[in-house]
Amino acid sequence: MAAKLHKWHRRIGLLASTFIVFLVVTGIVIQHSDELGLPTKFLTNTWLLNYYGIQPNPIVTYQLNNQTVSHAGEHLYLSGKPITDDVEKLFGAVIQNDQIIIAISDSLIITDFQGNLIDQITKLDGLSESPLGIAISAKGTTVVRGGTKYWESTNDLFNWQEYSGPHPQWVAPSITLPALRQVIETYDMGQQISLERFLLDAHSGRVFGKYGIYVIDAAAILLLILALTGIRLWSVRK
Amino acid sequence: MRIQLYILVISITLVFASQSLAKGVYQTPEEFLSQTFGTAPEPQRITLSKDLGKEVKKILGHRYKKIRVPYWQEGCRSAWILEEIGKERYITTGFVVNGQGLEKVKVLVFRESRGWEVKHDFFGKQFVNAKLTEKNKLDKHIDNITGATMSVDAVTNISRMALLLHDHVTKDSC
Repeated sequence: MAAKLHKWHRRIGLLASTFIVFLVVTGIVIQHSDELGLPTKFLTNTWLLNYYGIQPNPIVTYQLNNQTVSHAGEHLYLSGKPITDDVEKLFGAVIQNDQIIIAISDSLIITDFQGNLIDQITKLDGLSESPLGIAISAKGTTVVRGGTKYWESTNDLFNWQEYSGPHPQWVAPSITLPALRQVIETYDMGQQISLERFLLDAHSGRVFGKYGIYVIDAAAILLLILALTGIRLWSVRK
Repeated sequence: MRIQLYILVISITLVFASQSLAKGVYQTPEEFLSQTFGTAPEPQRITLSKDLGKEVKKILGHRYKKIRVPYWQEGCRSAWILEEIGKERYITTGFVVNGQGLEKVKVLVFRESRGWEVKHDFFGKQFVNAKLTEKNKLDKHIDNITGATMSVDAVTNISRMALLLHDHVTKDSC
């Protein structure tokens, strides 16, 4: 009986060893995920991203002389370079006083031509309404389209008054050229699955689909059997 | 069987409840300012010039997200609404600083899925009267919260930035 049990113990041990190595390696790396910066590193492999079913987000682009301001997912891009995130929607961009003024869901973002974020004007700074559009008036002032009224900046975007004048020419979205689209899509898709998420999915078996979880469950049961047969063999031998 | 079903339902409810606790606007910046000042003074801006920007970078380990930082000042008391990444996303925190150091620290918006424990008042209260040492560190120890280390670090670092900027805007007048 003990010889038979020993034989099975060895067989199960051999089978489980592959899983043990896999689970130990992924487990240790997950354990030190923060120190390794895995939450902020992302999966960029196209095959894996496709395997996850990751699709690029729709892109909205506004042309500004020889530069572009685009939005995809939660990111804002200046000529394809990501400049900030946590942006829900883009409503347009204009150039004023050698700065780019970008109208987003709840505020105006000011950047330089290199994409450095200079400032963000919110309702706390006097912005009357959330922007739904932006234009440069015939007088050269910045005009923002709010939900109910049009607002004109009177002084460095910190003071606003109701706009009265000719209907402003709101900036309209333009076509996203293929080269720009490719740059933005590559970045956007590469920001969706963190390495920590990938490792957690691998460790739990989820990365291998719905059957992957059962495979890891089976591995766990094998380890349990191994422990039980090990204890049994040890007690028999004693 | 019925007990197992109850356990399953309770477990699922707890998981979703903890998720809903995590993200959210705990206090709007408007509320924070009116609670601090009554009627908030006009916002002002401090520009992170080359030298100041360098000091901020030293504190945070990277450049601050904006070059101009808004603040609200009444006498020798100032309020700051600053943002710093915890693990993956920005945590918006409000700070009130006076001559004695930090007066109030309040997490206003939390966007991460974990580490939300920093929103509790007991965490913010640890910062009260904390000042900067010569090396721009806090002169008080801030306890870590298990499972929220990165959020704790983010709020601690950004509180140092608030103190540094307060010193800059009040150095000639207070």
